[in-house]
Formats: sequence, structure tokens, C-alpha cells
Amino acid sequence: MSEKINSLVVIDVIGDELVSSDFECISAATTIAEQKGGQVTVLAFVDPDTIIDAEIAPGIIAKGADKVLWASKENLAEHDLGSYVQVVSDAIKEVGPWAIIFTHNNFGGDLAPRVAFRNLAAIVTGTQAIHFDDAGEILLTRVCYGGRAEQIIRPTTSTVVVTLREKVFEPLEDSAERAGEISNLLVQPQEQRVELLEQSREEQKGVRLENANVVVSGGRGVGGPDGFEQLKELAECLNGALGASRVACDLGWVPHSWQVGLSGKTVSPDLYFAVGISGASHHLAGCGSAKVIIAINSDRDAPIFSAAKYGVVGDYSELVPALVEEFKKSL
Amino acid sequence: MIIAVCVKQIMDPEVPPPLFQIDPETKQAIRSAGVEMVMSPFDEQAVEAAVQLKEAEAGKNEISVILFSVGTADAKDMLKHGLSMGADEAVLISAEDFDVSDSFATASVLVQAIQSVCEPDLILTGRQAADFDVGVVGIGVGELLQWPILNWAKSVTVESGQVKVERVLSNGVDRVSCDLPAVVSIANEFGVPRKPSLRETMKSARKPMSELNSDAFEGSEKLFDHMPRQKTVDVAEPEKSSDCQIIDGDSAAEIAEKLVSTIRDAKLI
Repeated sequence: MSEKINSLVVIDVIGDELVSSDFECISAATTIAEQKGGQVTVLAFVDPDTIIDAEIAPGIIAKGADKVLWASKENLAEHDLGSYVQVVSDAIKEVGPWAIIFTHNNFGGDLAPRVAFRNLAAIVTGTQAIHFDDAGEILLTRVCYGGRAEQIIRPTTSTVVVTLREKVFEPLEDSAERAGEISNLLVQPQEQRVELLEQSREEQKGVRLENANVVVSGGRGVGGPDGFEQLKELAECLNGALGASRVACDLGWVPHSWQVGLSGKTVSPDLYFAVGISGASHHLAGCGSAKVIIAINSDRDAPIFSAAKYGVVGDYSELVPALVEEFKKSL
Repeated sequence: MIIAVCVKQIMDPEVPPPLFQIDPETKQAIRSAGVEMVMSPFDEQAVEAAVQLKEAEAGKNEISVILFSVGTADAKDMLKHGLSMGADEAVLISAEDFDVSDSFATASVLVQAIQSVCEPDLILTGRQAADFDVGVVGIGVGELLQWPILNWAKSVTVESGQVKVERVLSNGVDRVSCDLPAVVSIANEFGVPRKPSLRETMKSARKPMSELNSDAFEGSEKLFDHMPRQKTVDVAEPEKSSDCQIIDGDSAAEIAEKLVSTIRDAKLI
């Protein structure tokens, strides 16, 4: 197949900060461009007072983009992603992409399906691999059945909207010599149909769960909020973050923002402590890419042990304080 | 007021790992003996949300809750469960009659079916079906209808022609509102759905359940493209490695010492 294939990556820039998942999307688009030719354009939604040319656009280009189209959020409302759909559709018209790529988070998970339906495109959510069959056709792999299986999809349309699971694609190295085009996409005032009544944000204390090198997660076996205090000590002494299984969140022991798993966050730390977590597939879908999982569980038959590199069968409430003491000894 | 709830029948997602197997022919999970078909748990929360709204408005605002599902004939049991939870009516759209192999086709068929039966003020869905975990159909229904869409609600209220929800985000909560009609997807943070009482279960046997097949749409204008836009090439279980090294010892202190030195030797910290 000699036809060139363009990609459009859609990112939401908050303040001046580009994040790893933005670069992961560009990296995925580059995979297609390398195989098929074609260009990688990044549509960046930016705050009205952000100066795009100074740092953000060059930063995007250095990570592999050929073009940056920036759109101001001045006439848009972040709590009403319906107002973004027309802007993305305009960019699609301008770029003519085959793939329109988002991160699968609150932004992409909500906006991408709207864009797909508006543009009569196929949609593949939670994609974790892009590959090519013998004929050079693009195939997308995603997880399904709560992380128990993988589904391989071939889109049959001329455009496909893709959301990528975080931490799966590796960002490209910076290449400062790369040149790229920067242009503005004019945003007409959009009809806003959703009103924001109140916004509450959780204060971020310590290391961010998504970026931590060490994560200590607890599940049902931790027994209650008090147990998480012990885990906190372990996390703190390793400069790590705290996580939890869905059950621990649903029981109200810890905030939902701590949830690691298919319907929560994806983490890929060097070290992942799974304490009192049975290891259901939907949890493993969120931590499976950790370099090393250490399972601490009183049930030797818990599935977590088949995902772990090291395991301890026993009572965490004795082991965790001992670990804290041991780590402190040699730090 | 009418609330339509879109629900899907799936294989019990809590099936223990040894019973989970993919059929290479159908590219779907095999239903092993002893494994039940259930309403997708997120959809069950959407039914719960609808029934809670109905109860909250009782006496002030008559709310009728109608369930819609695209499925095979055996999905009637799942719909009965929804009726036992307190829904008023159920409509089964025959999956054999439509190619609903992707979210686009499913959303199109659902919208056409809903419109042929009622004029809802609010459509509720689960955040995703707990089999293929796609999370697109609800949003698609809203897009096709050009209604506002509020995703991942952990609470829903209706008041004077408006819907108010608390949206669960990864870093907090947004409380938002919009005019009806609207589509709201329910987050798993909504809470545990009720277990139907025996009385409600008995009552549900008398509630109307209808079936729609492609004849139902005949003559009426086909509103949306029902064609799927993608093809599933394969579904398979990923290979699992299980080389877990169990660290053992006589005391917690001894195990901790061994584990920490293993971690250090592997240069993980």
C-alpha cells in the first residue's frame, strides 16, 4: 500500500505544561508515519493566555510532530467537551487524517467518541498497540473483558478515532533539530449547553500516582482505612505514591482518585507493592506494566501471585512495618 | 417524564479465572457451565439511578422508566431483573436482525428503537459495558440525537426541566447541569444497585416487555447508518508468565530483610 497516511493527535494543554501522555500519542502517530509515510499534526488546545510559539509548539515538534495546529480555549468550556467537537472536526477537514489520536483519560475518553460519531469514523478506545498485517493494513489492539483478553480490530472506514491507554507507548527522544510548521486554528464561539455549578479538585500531596517510581497499593485485604496508614508509611519512606484496588475505593476506604485499574489510573512504576489485592484482571490492567510487582497477600492462591515477580504469603500488618524499618536502616 | 435506560446482557464479569475462555470461532468469551448471564454492572447502576429518580419524584412528577437492550432472546431474563429493580417497561431489540458488531451500529439501532417507542426526556447508560469495556455507545446515542452528554455521573437529580450531575474526574468532581433532554452516563462511583425484593420480582412479571425486530423499522425512514465501521480480527487471552519468587522466613523481620536486599540487589531502588 503506497498511500500516505496522515495522523492528527489531539491534546489538551493545561497551563504551559506538556505531559508524557501527549508525547505518547505523538509517538504512536509516528509509528504509523514511519510505516506509511504521511504527516503527524498535533492539534493543541491551549489556555487563552498561553504563548504557544515560545515553548509549547517547539516542544511538541521536538517530540516528533510535523505540524502544530493550536486552538485557543477562549471560546470553549472545559466542563462541556461538546463545545470542542466542532473544532476537532475543523482540524480533521484541514489535515485529512486517517487516525485521530487521543489519550484515554477524562479528556479523550469523553471527547473522542463524540468526534467519531460526528465524523462517521470508526472508534477504538483503550488502544495499547498499533501494528500492521502482512498486507500493510493497520491493526489496533485493545484490552477487553476487564483486562482478561485482548481484541484486535481492523477499522473499515477512511478515518478512525483512537484513544490510547496511558504509559503504553514510549515517548520519542527530544530532537531539537526537527523543524515543523506552527499555525493557529481559528475557534468560532461554540454553543455551550452545560453549565458548571461547582468544581472541586483534590489537592495533590506528595508524588503523583501516575508518575511515581514506587507505588504502594492496597485492596480488600488491608481491612480498612487504618491499614492504609501503614501503607502510607511504606510509600513515604520510598518517596512513592499510594494506590488502591477498585474494591478499596468502592468501600470508601480511600478516594476514588487512588484507583489503579481499568476504570482507574494506569501506572508503570519500577516497583509496585500490591498489598491485600487479589489481582483481578481489571486491576492488573492498570499496573501490569510495572517493572516489578511485589505481592503481599495471605492467600497463596490469589491471582496476584501469577503477575508478581516477588511474593510474600502472610499478614501484611506485620510485614509492612518490618519493611519500613528495614528500608529506613539503609537509606 | 420518561427515562430511557440502555442496558446490555453480558457474561458475569466476576467469573473466576479458570472458567474464562475465549472461543476462537466467535471471538467471544465462552459461557461455561455454571456461569451466569447478567446485566452489565455499570448498566445496573444506571437502572438504579433511574429508579431512584422515579422514587424521589413520586407524587410530584410521574416518571416512567423504560429499559432498552439490543440482545438475543435470552436477554429477557436480564430485562426482567431490571423490571424487578423498579423499571416500568422493557424493550428488547433483536440482535439477530441487525449487525451490531460495533458501537456505531449499536448506538444507531438503539436511537432508532428509542424514538419508535417513546420520547424520553433523559437517557441513562452505564459508563461502559463490562465485557468489551468500550464506553462509546452512550456517548454515540447522545451525538446521534444531538443532545448534551454528561459523562461519569456519581449522582443525578432532575429539577424544572434540567438535569444536575456530579461528574467523577481523575482529579476531582465537577457539578454541572444542562437542559433536558440529555444523555447521562453513570460512573461506577454511583454506588451499589439494589437487590430486587420478592414483591417487586412478582410484580415485574406483569410489566410490559416488547420485542422489536427489523420489521418495526420498516416503512419508517432509516434515521442512521446501521453499518459497523470496524471488524474484530481476533480476541485472545494474553500469555501469562508465573515465575513468582516467594520470599519466606521465620519472622516478619527476616522476610523484610530478605525482600529488601532482593530489591536492592535488583537495583530497583
